[in-house]
Amino acid sequence: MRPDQKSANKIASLLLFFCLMWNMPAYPKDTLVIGVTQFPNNFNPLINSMMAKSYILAFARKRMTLYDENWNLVCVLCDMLPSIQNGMAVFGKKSYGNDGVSVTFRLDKRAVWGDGTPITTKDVLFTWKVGKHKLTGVSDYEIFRRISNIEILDSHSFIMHLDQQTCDFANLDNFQLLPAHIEAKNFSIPAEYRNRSAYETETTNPGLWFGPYVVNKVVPGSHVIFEQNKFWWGRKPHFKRITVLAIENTASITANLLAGGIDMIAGEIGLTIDQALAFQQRYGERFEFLYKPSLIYEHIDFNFDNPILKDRRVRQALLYSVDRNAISSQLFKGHQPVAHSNINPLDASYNQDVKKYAFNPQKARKLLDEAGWSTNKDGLRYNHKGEALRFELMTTSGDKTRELIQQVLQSQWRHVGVGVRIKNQPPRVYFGNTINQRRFKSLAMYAWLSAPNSLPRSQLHSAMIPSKTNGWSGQNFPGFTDPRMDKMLDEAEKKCEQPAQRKLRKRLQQLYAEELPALPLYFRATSHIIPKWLNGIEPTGHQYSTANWVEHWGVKE
Amino acid sequence: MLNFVVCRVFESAVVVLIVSFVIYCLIGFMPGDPIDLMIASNPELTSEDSSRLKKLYGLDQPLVSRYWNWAQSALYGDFGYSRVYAQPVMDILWPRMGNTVLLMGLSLFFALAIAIPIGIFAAIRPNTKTDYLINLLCFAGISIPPFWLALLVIIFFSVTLSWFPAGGMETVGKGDLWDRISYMVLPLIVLTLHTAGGLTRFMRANMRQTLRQDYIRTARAKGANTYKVTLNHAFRNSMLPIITMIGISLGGVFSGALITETMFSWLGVGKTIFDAILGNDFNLALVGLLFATLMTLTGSFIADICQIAMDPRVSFASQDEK
Amino acid sequence: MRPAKHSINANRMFDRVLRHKLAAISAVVLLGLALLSCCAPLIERLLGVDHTDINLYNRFAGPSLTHVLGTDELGRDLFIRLLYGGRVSLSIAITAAIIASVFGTFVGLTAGYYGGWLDRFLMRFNDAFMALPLLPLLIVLAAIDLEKVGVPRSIAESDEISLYRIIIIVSMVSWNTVARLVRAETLALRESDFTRAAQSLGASSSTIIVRHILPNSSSPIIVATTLSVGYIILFESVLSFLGLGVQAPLTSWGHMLSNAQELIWSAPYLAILPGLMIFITVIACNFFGDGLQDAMDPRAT
Repeated sequence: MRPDQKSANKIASLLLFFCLMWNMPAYPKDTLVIGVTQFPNNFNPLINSMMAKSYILAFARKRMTLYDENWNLVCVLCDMLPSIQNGMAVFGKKSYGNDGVSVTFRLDKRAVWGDGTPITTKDVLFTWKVGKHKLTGVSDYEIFRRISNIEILDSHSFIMHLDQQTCDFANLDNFQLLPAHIEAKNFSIPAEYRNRSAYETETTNPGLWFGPYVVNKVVPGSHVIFEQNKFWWGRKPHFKRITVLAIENTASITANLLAGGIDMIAGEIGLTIDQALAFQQRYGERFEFLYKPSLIYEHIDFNFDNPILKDRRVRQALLYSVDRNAISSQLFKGHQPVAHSNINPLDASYNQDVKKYAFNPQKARKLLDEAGWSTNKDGLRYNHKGEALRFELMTTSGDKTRELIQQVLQSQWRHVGVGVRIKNQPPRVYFGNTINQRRFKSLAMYAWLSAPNSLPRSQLHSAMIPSKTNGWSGQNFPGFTDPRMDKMLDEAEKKCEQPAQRKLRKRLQQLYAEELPALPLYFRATSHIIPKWLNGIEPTGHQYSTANWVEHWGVKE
Repeated sequence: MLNFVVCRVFESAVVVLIVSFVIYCLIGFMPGDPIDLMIASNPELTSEDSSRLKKLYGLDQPLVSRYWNWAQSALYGDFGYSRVYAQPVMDILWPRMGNTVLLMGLSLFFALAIAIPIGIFAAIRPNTKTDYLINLLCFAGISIPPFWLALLVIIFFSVTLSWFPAGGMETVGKGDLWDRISYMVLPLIVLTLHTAGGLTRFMRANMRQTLRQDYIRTARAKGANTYKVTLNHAFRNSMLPIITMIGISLGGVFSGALITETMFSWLGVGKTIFDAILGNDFNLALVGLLFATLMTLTGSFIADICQIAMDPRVSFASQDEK
Repeated sequence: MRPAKHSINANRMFDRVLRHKLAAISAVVLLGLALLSCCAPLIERLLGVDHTDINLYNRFAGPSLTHVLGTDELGRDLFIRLLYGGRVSLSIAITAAIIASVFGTFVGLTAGYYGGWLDRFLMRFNDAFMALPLLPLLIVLAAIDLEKVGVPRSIAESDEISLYRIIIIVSMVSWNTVARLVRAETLALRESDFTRAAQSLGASSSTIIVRHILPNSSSPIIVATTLSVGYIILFESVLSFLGLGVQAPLTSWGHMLSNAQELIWSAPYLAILPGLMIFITVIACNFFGDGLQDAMDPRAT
């Protein structure tokens, strides 16, 4: 067979064409393509909260209030943060129940929707109406539940009456404003609002957005394109256009980064730390890597219904026999600090002086002997009744990091004579059935994602143990019961003044470390991979993504 | 024949009905419904809230009556809304089905374009070195784990050589024809390599069998040109088995592309169904799986008809005997 | 009363397999792999390593005397893990292939021999199983509390439970091909002279099926089983890729491969080696099955 010269030429030129196309260097740096591993399912800010959505929405929306990079609550859409000191918040106003708080907010007068319509108290009222309606299906119902009334003062100020005394009355981060002038007609049938909302049917309508950018184009499952918002009243952002591109598979998202298809990988919904570290090992000099320990507390819940785990000595022994320092330094290069309690070291009320459990297998063995697990047979401990010291360790299947840690734990516990069987489930089964209904037999590994200064009341108070009778509500999944803990949590809800509040929280951490309702592992870090020419991205460590400060992003000179 | 077809269609319809119920129940039995997840993530939700939400999503009714309601409206073409995407199910499925069918169709086309000539080529030179080499390559194609192949292809063609993009559907803001094609190349390579091996071997085997048939020998003995014989008689006779084979594999179209779609971020229906199941998007998962079922049944139907048409031993009569 | 057709001289068969050189090599490779996997604990002792022993201070080590192929992401010996992975992969594949073949043969024989409504019912049953979606099935099965279903505690709580689960699932979806094959073969054999003869002599249906039809359709069954061993190994790797495969401390090649794909930039050999093992095994199965087919097919010359 004779090769056809003409078609060979054609193929060659075609290949050349592709080569040229994919090696376009030096592009104008007024656009940015961000790679993420998850695409938001829908766009209505009130319905279905997920990390991918809150990251993407942050380019085109602002929250009422927000924690800044120093972990202080600040006003974004309002002009002054209400507090007791400045008189904008008043405890126990009689006409609205004797236990409540009345908080005055003033909206920023410059704030307008992306179509030029001013943001007014009408929008506030409408949002409240949607949020509190039982048929809307709002995911963060709490903020709407606790508002007993909203009193409109004028087009830009209102008083919000909360039905109970809390210390975080000024926090309106989940009160996500909706544009009344667009959405009111879609809310005529509340049960169908979730499907008829303009956020789903006309996502690119600029009137829905009010951030530095507006949504310009959405290709579901693939990407969202943002263009600058003509009516944005704050600092002018640098990039003309930002594209967020979803590529789920790790290998292909990194390949895309190397091939230049994307400029950076977002830390919030990007690579896990071990993936990022492995990538850095090879391509470290081509990109900037930012690691930031965050408020994601990775831990293992004990099930207190298990008689073996009721014994504090067993819980402590389990912790003593794990070399968490080695895990942190060897697997995570020290970027994920060892946790000593459930409170992050970056938190203002962090307590350094809690009981710490450095790796000490001798001590673990001694504690287990004392607890009655003294007979050793084939490397496994037994008690005098002949029961084996064996646990079932559960976590989400498909999470590579957790599965790695699981195997380390399994191996290290075996050294002190504790047997562990691994049983993993897909997330929907694990969180939707096993954890929430406390069906795990002994140990369950997962993470808590919390806001700065949040009180772990729902996770530690004995009234918050999920059961069939309370409809499985509450998050005290271990079933931890300690009257001292309950008392402290109740007090901390009421005493908002600073030294008292902080003192309570410090004592709480001590008790936590002493009693170990759960086994603290580490605080997970976000890993941002950004191009060397980009600046302004500063991971905060709390749950608000870097995209909330997109107007500060720029190009290095 | 007509009798057979009518019977067969009726039987398949019954199977669809039963399978749809089984699928409905299976998805319904999967633990962790959306409300359970919502309650677990929000400590303040009370049991009243949970029953309120369950009522809102219609989850408070027994499975059978839910199925009945669903089947009734599905008959009128109303498949409901996707819970996760807040859009009509078909609005989500159609474009993605299009993407998958495009990818799978093209890869099948290329696979056939490779398999038919090479299969014939190998069949008329049995037990030569070329034949062995072709055989080896075919087996290699069949035996590679698909996601491993995808990974190797990405590393080689897109990272090392940077010829083709590593994944996605189109360059953002570009999306002309060439651009789209360049995104299709790598997934097509993976899928084609995977299917071509099996098809080639199948083509070769059938061709060998046909070439041994008496009438071919007669034609050759009469002095007909070998290539002419091969093409005219043998080729035509080998097409039916190929169609049968494609028919049987039709059911795998939706699920078969799952790995490729995942690796290359291709927005296809396989990935959509997978995510819908894991994300508990009841309607979307259900309708997607039903389409897959329909494909399987249609494929098996086509395969049966082909088998009967080509194999005189399996007659229509034997289907109706006894 | 023996049908003449089915007895292929064993010696001649052996000759043919040997003549098919690649098939012979494949058989040796497969046997070797099986043997190595079986002896994994022994080799582990000889080398003085432990396949579950984690050493965080010796990750990604290169080959050395103690660690022949180096260590993996948790400092475990890679060589011994490949052997243990092979143990799991091969035992899943072989067990599931045999279960599927036995069940598929039974269905195929029944459907093909008795015909009529039974045939139709079984074939639609076959269709329905082919159409059954795997993923929800896997999730439901993963969530069932086995002890409540009546599985003894010692099994339900053993490390191997994820293995059994996969074998069951894989068998459930692999019997269709064999059933179709056997049915087609049976349909043809039913009309053959020796069946007619046996029927006229008053042999019962079960005797005819077991003594005449089954032996005559044995070659496609054996070939299909061999081929499906390879197919199941691939299938298991896909399940692992989706996060639905075996669970630690067990490992399979697919499990190792999918774990290592994230390390493809820093430690590519961790992904390449198990991938190669899968490739070699599957291709050997295919060649061996192909050779068997040639050897057993009386029509081939």
